[in-house]
Amino acid sequence: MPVGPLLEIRDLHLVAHGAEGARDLVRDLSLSLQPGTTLGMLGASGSGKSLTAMALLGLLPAGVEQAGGEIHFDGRRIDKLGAREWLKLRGARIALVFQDPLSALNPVLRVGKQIAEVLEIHTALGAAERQAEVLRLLREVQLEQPQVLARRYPHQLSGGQRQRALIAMALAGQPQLLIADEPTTALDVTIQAEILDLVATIQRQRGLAMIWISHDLEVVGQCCQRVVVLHQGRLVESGPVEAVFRTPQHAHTRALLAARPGRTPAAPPVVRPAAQAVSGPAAQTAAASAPESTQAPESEGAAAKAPVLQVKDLQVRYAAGHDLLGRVNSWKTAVDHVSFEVHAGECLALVGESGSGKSSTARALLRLQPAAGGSAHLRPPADQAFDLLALPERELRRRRHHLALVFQDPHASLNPRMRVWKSVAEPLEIQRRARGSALRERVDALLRQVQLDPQLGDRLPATLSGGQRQRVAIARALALDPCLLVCDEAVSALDLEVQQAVLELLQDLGRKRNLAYLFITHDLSVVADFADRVAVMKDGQLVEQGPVKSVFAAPQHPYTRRLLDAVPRLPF
Amino acid sequence: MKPPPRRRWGLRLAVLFLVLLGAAALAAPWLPLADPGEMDFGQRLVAPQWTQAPVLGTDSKGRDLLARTLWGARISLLVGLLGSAVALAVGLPYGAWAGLKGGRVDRLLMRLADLLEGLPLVVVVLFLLSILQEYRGELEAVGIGRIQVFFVAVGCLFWLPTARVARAEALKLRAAAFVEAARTSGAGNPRLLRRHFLPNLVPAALVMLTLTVPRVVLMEAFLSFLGLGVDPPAVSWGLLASEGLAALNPLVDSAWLLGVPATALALTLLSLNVIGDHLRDAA
Repeated sequence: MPVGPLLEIRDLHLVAHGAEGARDLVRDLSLSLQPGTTLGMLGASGSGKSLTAMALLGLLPAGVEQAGGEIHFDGRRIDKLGAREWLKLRGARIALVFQDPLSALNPVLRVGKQIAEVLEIHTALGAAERQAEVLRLLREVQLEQPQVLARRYPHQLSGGQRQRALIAMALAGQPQLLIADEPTTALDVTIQAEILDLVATIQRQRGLAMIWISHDLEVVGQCCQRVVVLHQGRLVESGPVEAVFRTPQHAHTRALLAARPGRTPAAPPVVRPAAQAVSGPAAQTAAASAPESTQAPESEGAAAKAPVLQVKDLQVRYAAGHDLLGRVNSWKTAVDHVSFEVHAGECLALVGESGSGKSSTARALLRLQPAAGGSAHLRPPADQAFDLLALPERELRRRRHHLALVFQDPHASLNPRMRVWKSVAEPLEIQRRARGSALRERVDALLRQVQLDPQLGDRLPATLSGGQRQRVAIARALALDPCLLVCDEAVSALDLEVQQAVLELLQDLGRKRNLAYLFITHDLSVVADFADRVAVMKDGQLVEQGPVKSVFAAPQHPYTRRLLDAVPRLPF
Repeated sequence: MKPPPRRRWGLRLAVLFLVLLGAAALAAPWLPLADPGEMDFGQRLVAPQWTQAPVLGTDSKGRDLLARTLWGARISLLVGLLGSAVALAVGLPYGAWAGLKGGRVDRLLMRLADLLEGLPLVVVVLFLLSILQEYRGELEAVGIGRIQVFFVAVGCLFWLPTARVARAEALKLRAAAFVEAARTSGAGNPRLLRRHFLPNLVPAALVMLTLTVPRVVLMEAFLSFLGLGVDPPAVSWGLLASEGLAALNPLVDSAWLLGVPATALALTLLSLNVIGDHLRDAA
């Protein structure tokens, strides 16, 4: 029963005023939203989706201006409102849920107090009624023990709890429109699934209209009725989710859909025989699946040689407390007796949620973090085998080039004050492999290998795109011909299409150089595309490992099953 | 996203003032100025004429105040820049090393810095000057005078804030991915300091420079004012202000003798602080 739209945007035009004059950020954007429905807003970073959301809240960042167009909300034009009128609208009628719940909450105020503040501004409730309403809201977002949680500070909450608290805060003003800006991107996949459920329930109960901003097609496909696709500030496609996803009209939408990782193997999980349920403790499962992993390469016809990397009983712990003299008196175990192997030409994916110890494992192997026990034998083809963890510092510096690391954040992994080619050249300089013009030639060759124009070498990292920077980081990692490449969430920060391209590059390089990969990620769909074997970590322990296909098709450990079930899938 | 262009006339004025002052000070020997040391007792205590010589008046010995102020700027600014350079040269590597090493080295270096922080500069200068007095002959033979003593004192104490800022920045850099990347390819600490830490400390160093120069200029002026700074016949703003104060008496109006060097000093410090603020916002 179509009533008038709750929100209507006509020809929105946003420009940035910079040193080089005005630049269009969003152009000719029109859309409308019916009450009680959810609109997905898809687009790569820089496509203007967050900016549009900010325009809806009258919160355009300094330097950005609305140069044209109209925004109508509930039959009223809102883009020309004064600051005072915005205050009445924002939070009360239109509310926002942020991506990063930790920075969106005030760290020095108790959670309950922060929610009560919204009520104080937007309602006439007295102090006691506000308190009751806060508890009711916390119950509505399905937080257990609301009385206890209301008295906690944001840092005492888990990521999922924080996001729930933030949603409660957004709901406090009884809004008609909720804008969610990548609300689950920072969350683990199992928690993301819970939040998606929660939001769907609340929306049904309250009849909320929502705008769901995301780069994740599966999430949008699950929770939205209609979708708009933004590309470089323009709306390139809009329509019902299913129609857009099934028969995309615009080339960019098609590319977006094609770049989606894991379209094949993460297919609906096969019916699992109940007999396969394993109830033993984690360590046992890991031990049980160990023989399976050694069989894997044989069955695929690879030479049954000694593994390039053999990790045994790796332990990593962090100091959790100090006594008066500054000596550590309590420890927190991050990695607990983890063992695995990686063979040449093979990719082992290490998956798990945040805090599972997968990054600590990588850091310990690279000796960026001391290991508390265990061994990690590396067998480079052109060198003697050695134990990475036992090597003395001086010896280590000569030999650590056999393994290299690619980081998650391509913005942080290059020195902003170094020309790109210098960054790639640094490992060669340190190990005294080349100098002068020979050095530059090797760098150029490396840049070509990662499909970059060597002329980019003279630029500073800030002038490169995220994908280009990640390629530079890969070129640097390859500079010393490592036999093992550790990728710590190496594609997680990239847009889907770029992610796809970088994964293809890694795959290609792996084949050409017979590289072994230790691929650390939380993204199971990437694992399905890229890895040969997978090892699942939970609370510092390895709970399951084996070939990707068999683990994904018939997960043995209940945690693996939970992880796989939580991966969002398109409902059609 | 860039902030919108702000009104920056304050910054422009500050830069303009410092550039003009610096150029005039540099060119003082070639400018058509009176000799700053030449006494003319027929022209004693002439008030500023503004449009004709003596533009800024003369002092009690008939010396031209404009010439003396510009020649004083040479010493004051030189001392400020060199002193700050000393402070930066000591403070940046010290703080960066503490932050780079972390742990026990960091704690030790920073406690030492705390210790030095407790020493009053004037006491240090007096101590050094007393040594100078004692061994005057020998030290002057190797070219060590009061100015050099002043640099040593500044070198001892004025680098502390710079070191703290450098350490804070270095602690952030220590966890930076590009530093870890360099470490994993076998880079040692000296290389990390040289190639990754110091270049990334440049913005912070610029801010610290603009904040240290005024402190050093002021300290030199203060010491010269007390008679512990530059030796006459050399002139600095602090010395001029000191003479100006001494010349004040209820019978003869000579306020310009204090006013001119004090104004020059105040405007210089203000300009440097304005520039420092803008740099800090931009960094």
